[in-house]
Amino acid sequence: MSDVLDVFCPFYMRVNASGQITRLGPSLAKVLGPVVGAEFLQICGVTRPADIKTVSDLAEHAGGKISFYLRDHPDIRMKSLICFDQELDAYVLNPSFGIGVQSAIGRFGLTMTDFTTTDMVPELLYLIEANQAAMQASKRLTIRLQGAKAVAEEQAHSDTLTGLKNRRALELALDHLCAHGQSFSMLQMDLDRFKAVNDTLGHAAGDAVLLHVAKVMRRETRQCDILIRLGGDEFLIILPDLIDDKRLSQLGRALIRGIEAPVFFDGNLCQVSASVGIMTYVSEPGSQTGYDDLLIQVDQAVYAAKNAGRGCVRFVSDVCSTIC
Amino acid sequence: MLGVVNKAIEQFVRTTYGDRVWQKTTQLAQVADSDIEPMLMYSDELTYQLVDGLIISTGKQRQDILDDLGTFLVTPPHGRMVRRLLRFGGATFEEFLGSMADLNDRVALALPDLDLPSISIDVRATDRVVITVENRIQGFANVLQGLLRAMADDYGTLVFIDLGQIIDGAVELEVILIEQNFAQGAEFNLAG
Repeated sequence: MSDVLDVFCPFYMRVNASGQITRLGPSLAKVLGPVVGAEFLQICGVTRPADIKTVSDLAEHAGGKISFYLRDHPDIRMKSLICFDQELDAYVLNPSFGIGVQSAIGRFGLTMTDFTTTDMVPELLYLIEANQAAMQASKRLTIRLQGAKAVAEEQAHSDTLTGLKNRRALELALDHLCAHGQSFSMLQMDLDRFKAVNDTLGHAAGDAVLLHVAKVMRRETRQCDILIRLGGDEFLIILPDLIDDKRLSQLGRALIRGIEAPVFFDGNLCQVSASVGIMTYVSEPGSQTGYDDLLIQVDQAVYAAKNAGRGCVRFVSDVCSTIC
Repeated sequence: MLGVVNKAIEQFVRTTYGDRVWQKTTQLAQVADSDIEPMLMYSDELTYQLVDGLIISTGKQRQDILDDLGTFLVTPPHGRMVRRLLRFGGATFEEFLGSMADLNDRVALALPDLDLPSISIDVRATDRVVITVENRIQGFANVLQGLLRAMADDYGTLVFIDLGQIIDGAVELEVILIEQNFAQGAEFNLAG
């Protein structure tokens, strides 16, 4: 009988009526070590059914199932059927690791030959690993696609020449700021004499000037500011939380100074300037605003700067005081 | 064919012959680098173009290249995972050969879209097994030959593998087991 069980059920265990382990299948012996003769309940801590405290309690549950952990390896749990064999005058158990089989195999160095050919454990392990490998490949694909999507989105929101954001990004940024009731300022610049550079020295020279302007904008602004090329020679900067007129005026002048610095293209001097308009939006609790009006206002401020002789800064409040 | 096949060819070429040979291969095959995503489906034609390109760019014989590819697939470090998954097929090379009959089912559990030709096993004698492979993917039997030889090596078994002719749309691979325990096999740790 036992020889047959060694082959058919290499994880089986026999426990005599007084609770001693009397025989182990070859694979379970690898797990438990030389425990023949030891008390079953001292090797294995039964967790379910909860009322198994002594050997005599086992009799109550013969024909049922029990769960236990190994006292030498408390994290290794096993479950088993338990039967009482009258002829052998002993309990027979067929413990299995259940879902924790992978870590148990690693712990006790079990191999393929420790499981019978009908045991699904090798197939289960195969499936776990095959699944992990396939998931990894899918995950890598997703990450690559995500990267490509981010690049495409970035490009869709960017001006290809200067790398600044475009009008679409402006709308998204304003939507966000207005929705969150955040205070901000907008600084719009139109270049002066840019058309002359383009007409006399060509588009390549014009592009060099635009790149120069983008560089100055990056240099003079904070990380959180949003730099936009509206198109042609029009630029706009969104300045979240910056509503101090003095600082804004300084920024406007610094930008003009930077832009006026001479640029040489193919040995030709390309010098432009900029007219700067600034508007400030102070959010009040509960107030909601549309940004279309704000864009019109800042545009009017730019015109005021142009009318004031170009190369200067004007605030929306200057426009109002002139008009009103 | 699932892109993982093309990706395997790419890894094989880059590792064995270098990036320049791979570039030349893709140029000859008129395949863009970005065309190869392991988990997406492609036409079988694309794979054949890659193999044709590879033959020209390396100047090697078709059967040798495919045989080497099969070996590469199960040779660590790149072939670590495939080798492991195949080793679940059995504790000995003989058992492993028997498991080749389940290869399609095993592959389907991992990659349902990787539709490999069907394989049947015929044990003619204790030391002689004939594997019949459906000739649906050109050159698949050559790849399998290289793969089986490498797996035999992994188990420490000495084998001789003979590739037969295409008969009735199938190819026969005859495996002669010369010595089961010819060498100490590579270790296989069940838990990974």
